[in-house]
Amino acid sequence: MSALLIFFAIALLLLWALFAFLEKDHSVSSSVSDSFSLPSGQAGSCDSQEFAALGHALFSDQDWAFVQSEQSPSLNKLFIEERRALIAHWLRESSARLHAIRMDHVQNSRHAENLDVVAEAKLLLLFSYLGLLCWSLLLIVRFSHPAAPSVLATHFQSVSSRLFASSSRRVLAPAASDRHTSMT
Amino acid sequence: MNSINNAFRSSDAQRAFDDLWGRTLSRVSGDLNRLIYVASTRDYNSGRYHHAGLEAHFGFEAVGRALENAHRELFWKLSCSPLKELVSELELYMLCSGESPEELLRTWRSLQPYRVAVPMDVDPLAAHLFFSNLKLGLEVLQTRRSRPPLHP
Repeated sequence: MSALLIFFAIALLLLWALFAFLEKDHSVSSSVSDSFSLPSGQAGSCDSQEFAALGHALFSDQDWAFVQSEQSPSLNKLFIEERRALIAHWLRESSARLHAIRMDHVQNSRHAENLDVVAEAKLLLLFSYLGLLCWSLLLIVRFSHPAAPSVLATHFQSVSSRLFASSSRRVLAPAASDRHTSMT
Repeated sequence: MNSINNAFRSSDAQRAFDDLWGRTLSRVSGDLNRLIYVASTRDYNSGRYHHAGLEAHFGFEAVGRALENAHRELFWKLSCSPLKELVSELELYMLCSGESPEELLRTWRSLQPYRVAVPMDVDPLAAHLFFSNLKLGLEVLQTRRSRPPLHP
């Protein structure tokens, strides 16, 4: 029993260290990328197609290969720092959009009379899966280069874009107040 | 944005847009040159676009919308284009500007004049990707210039 408690304590300590590291790394990236901050209430003004195009550009293999071919360590460093900061914001925005869709769905479900429990459970799993993918992408980009999770990013986009498209008629953009709940 | 585009296409602004591309923008080399040109037709204080020649034919409002749409299209194309293509666009811009490449690189890296070439109310993430890619593109060109030439 005590061994189990020690194991959990170590796991919690490691998780705390990981979060602390991510926060620190993010603040460094933000300061490097010149005055990079998204004004609240303005982000997410693009539609789902444009948002997906931004995602493809951010995780681009082609850009990474091009920067590598220039054989400049300083350029390499700058590219990684710039893209990390942008990808972090893109993922936060994705997460905020997903959160807005989920909230919209919950709101609608409250008034529904015949709820399909299995369908609701599937949807909950899908949201959890997408949230997990978001975190995984953030972690991979933090510990590797920006194009490393390009395949995973494409998968995340294909799954989430179906949700974005289906809800675009009801949810145009996430409210600024929704953002603080995402990725925190 | 799609609803704006639909309204745009069914109006006089579409004809002004076609004219702008057919007579002016198609003669400008490269999308970055085109973007800078279209951005330069925008009044810094009011944010309205002006083109005297087009306004005489299509009217003030239609031309304003045509220029705004062209600006957005060019901006999105450049923002999402691969870094390699953006570097080629920068090289073409330097060639067409008539300035010495060293001077232009120094000015663009320090003043960042491209920041005013972004359309109004554009998604901030797209704007930052555009700034970031241009910053990287300028660094690529600077790195290439500072590298000693290869001898056979």
